[in-house]
Amino acid sequence: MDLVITFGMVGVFFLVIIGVLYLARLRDANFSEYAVGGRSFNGFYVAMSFLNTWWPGTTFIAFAGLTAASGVIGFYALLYSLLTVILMYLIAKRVWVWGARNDVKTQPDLLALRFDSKLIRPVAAIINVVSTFPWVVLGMQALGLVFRYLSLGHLTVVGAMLLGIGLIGVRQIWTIQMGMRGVVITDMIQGLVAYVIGALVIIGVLVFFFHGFGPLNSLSPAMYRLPGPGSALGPLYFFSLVATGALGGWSWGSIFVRLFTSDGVKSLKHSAFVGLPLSFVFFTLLSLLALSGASLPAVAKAPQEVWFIVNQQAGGIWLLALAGVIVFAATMGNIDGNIQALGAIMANDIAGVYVKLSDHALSTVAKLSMAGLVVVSVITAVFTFNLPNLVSLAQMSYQGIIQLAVPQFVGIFWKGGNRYGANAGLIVGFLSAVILTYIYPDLVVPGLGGITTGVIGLVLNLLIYVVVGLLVPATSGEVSRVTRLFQSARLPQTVVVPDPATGK
Amino acid sequence: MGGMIRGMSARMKNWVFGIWFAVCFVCSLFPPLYLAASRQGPQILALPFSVAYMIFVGLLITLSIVVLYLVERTRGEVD
Repeated sequence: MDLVITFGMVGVFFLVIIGVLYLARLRDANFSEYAVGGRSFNGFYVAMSFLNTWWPGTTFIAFAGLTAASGVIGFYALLYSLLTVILMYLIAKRVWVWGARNDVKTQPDLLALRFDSKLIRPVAAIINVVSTFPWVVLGMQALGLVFRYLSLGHLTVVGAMLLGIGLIGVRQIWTIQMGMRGVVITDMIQGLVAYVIGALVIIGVLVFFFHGFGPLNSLSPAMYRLPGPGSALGPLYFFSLVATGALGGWSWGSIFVRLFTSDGVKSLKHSAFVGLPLSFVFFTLLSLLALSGASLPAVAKAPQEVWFIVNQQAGGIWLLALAGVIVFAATMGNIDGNIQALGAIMANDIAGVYVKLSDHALSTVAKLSMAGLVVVSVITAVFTFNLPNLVSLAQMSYQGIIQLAVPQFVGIFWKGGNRYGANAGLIVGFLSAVILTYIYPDLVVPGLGGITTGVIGLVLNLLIYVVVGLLVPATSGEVSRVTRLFQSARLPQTVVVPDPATGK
Repeated sequence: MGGMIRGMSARMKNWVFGIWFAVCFVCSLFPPLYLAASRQGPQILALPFSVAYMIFVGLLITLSIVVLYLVERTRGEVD
């Protein structure tokens, strides 16, 4: 009976999502529709879509586990997740107007527009694909943990993972068919379940199970200290985590593309107005639950399972089932978003750069890329399930992806950079981050007080960008092109998206 | 209130929110500040001090965008 409740709830939720996809089934008219949903979504949809990609299912496992095991340092994710929205608010107008006026569909596309560079598209695309892939695999593997819990010990680890991966693999059929529109519509429902119902569940557990914040007093004082001078990680470790997270947030292609799905700057800003308080409330509550859970002996033994242990102890099988549905909802949104964005990037910024493709061909290449990614991710997830270094690979990928922050943010705010500095900085920054992370897999470079490998790459990247930008004089044509581009963002927002057939 | 917000110069608005954002980034990223808050006591609203600090900074960041959006909407500057 218990298994009927746990798997039944996940099954019903899955069917609801598939049902919504069928009801909303729309044929995307062109690649722009397929890649960015025709720039047609209001602030609520964009906010929920951002949240569902930003807070994956592993938030309930790895992030909550970090807080349960190590204490207040886990709040670094709260700060960078909120700071990154300030950056979004500041770039919103320029990015959206440039995107809509020039039919920009992906993050590498925008960099190509800013720097008038063909090379930067595959460079940024490859960094995106290489960096995001481990997260797709990790997301699939996280479902293994969900299903192992929901099976109440009846499934082996491998069996649970195969079931989770199978289900998420089947879900991708609709991601591939429907593109961004399908992702955003389902993000709304998945986001409501994961973060709104998730927050309500947490409030209930904190009030009726923990009876307030009393359990926090029973934890060791070390749980409330950040790494400081003389610690193994160093006083700048927390700075590095927050800084790379805040800058890196919009470097992920799957996050950045959310900017292009909105129907205007107003909706984009409204999405920040809606999403930021939701993010704050949800993650603060989750962190408080994880900290309170750390007082339980079972959580002390397995901190990463804090979400399931606490919910099962607090509400028995029904709450455990709901906890599973919540993680499942968050995971689906994240994997869908990543697969869709990577497929669009591979078609638009790798294949489409070297071969002239029609709209139909671009959509077909994107769908084939997504299908290929799903197959490779499933295979990798199955064969690397017991390898501990995949988490390291994911951390390494974060050090790499943040290199895109330099041409992106500096390029959006400063007219002075050029394509040479942007490309050279990206390549040097990315490679140095990867090499340093290989040498120092715990990410901390010795002797620098806790500075992480990605920050070193970021500094090199920025130096190259600025120095080359100052040393290589821009032609008068380039100066005038960039000036026009910057001026265009100040014009009234009467934007007509170019017709792909005529280019007008 | 609405009249005061509409009457505020653009320069003043930029200064106010520029400083607000700067405070958010400094509270999150400046080691002497976050390390000074890195302790269990005294408790704030029944929360350990470092946890209360993190939540306070989070709230400060959240309010910065919420208030900026409301101000821009009142002034007709959202788009």
